[in-house]
Amino acid sequence: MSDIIEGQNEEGRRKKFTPSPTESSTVVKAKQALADALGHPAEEQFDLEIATNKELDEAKKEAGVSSEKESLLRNLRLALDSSDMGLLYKATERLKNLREKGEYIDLIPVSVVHGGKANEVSGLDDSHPAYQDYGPTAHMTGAEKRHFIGQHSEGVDKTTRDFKFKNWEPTEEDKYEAGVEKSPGQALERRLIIDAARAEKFEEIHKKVIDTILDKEILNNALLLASTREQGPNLDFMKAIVKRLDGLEKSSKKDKKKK
Amino acid sequence: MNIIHSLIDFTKLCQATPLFLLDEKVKTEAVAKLKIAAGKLRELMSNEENKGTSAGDAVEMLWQSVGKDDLDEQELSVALGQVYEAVSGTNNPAIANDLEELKKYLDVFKYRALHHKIRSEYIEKTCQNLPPEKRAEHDQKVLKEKLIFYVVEYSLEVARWLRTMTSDDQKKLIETGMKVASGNLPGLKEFMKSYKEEVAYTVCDEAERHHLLKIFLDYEQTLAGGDYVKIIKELDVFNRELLKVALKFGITAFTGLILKPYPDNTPIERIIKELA
Repeated sequence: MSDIIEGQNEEGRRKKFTPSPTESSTVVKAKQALADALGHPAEEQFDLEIATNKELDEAKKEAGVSSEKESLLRNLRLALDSSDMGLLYKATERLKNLREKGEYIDLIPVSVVHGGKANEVSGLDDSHPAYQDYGPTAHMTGAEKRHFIGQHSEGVDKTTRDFKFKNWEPTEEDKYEAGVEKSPGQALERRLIIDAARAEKFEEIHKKVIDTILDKEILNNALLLASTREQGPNLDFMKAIVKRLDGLEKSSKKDKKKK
Repeated sequence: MNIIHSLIDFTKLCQATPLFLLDEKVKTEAVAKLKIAAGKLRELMSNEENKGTSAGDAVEMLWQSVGKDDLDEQELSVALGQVYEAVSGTNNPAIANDLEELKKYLDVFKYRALHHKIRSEYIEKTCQNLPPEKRAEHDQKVLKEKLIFYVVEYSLEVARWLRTMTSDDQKKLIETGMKVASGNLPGLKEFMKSYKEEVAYTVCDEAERHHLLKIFLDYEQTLAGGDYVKIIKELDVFNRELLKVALKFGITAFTGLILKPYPDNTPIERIIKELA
């Protein structure tokens, strides 16, 4: 078979895809998947505007050496605000190095509540510490949890931002098992946001969750997690978090003025 | 911007200049962009069925290469080449033109990176058993024999003639070379690549080797730009920078072997001042 498509002019000729007889369909499919992936957007709505002001230059110096959480957060936010890829890279690399050396806090809480939709997105195994939960879904598999939530959840409580289940209320013991969290609702926030930060796919559900969160600490931790995701920084998610943090800070300033 | 555009941008940037010679900011951004693209590619190819296939392995290799603390540009060029090879036979009109562009830059990048690695390893091997004083002796000898007699003697002579020529003759001397009263001068562009090979990769001192490489690459880019006024102006900078390196290695006077752009034993410092 000729490897030139007939009827095309010289410029338009392309090699026709003629897989070798020894190539399995899996190999061929993988090649086609890679070709398709190359045409996929690079997840970079990030415009590479090069910031050259003194603040950014100093932040870059600091980002390479600082191990202060505040400083890392400041640099990440500055990188996002200024669309400075270089600063983002330095800050995330520093954070990763610190975490690899065990010199940095583990941002994943051992105890978080309620299984469900989150791990469908994250792809994490149910045995991951992030999924150690309590409540009616505590001993269920991921599929069972999803089924249970689908069947019994009456939605999310607007006050606690917790799932509401028919015929079930958390006991004091359940709440205690939630560990460091102040409330099951807050634990759920943390759980969802960690999943979203680690997730390979970015789902609308997590964007919505971010806009309900009031705890800056959770948002800050999620920002750090999202920046050190194995597949590279989750920029969409990071921007959504920063937007939320900015919103919270503006509201807080307004509140102070009113007082 | 699609993933393939990130690969093209990186390859284009690295085709002529080694990664370590790029401006720190440019390098950091280029690597960050490639890393994001490789991560996204890996994410999109994370299906179990793709693992162990040539396409899956190529993506994994790219991800591993770009994730290293100490980046190896030759390894990166091979990894990018594997990605290209894995898809080069597929039929995907949406990226066909991009693939052609990637290949154009990739061919140059792969060759340059491999060549740089081989030449660097060779000189490092040659120098590793020499005691420090012998290394300095080796470098001074090389710079005297090759930099002064082979390169600067010619480039100073070319610069001298370019100052007095018509613009047509200037172009001719730069592009193809020409016969002048002092001899037959080869074209500047033709000789630039061999100059680089003869000098930059023969010095033991790594920092100076990189510095020399940068001087040559900078001027190569000026030549590639095709702006003759700039080419002539920058030739003085090129000569000046090379003479400064010679001074660092204790070569203080210039004496041409065949061409005599300056009288024998002219102090190099004086030539540098004249070219400023």
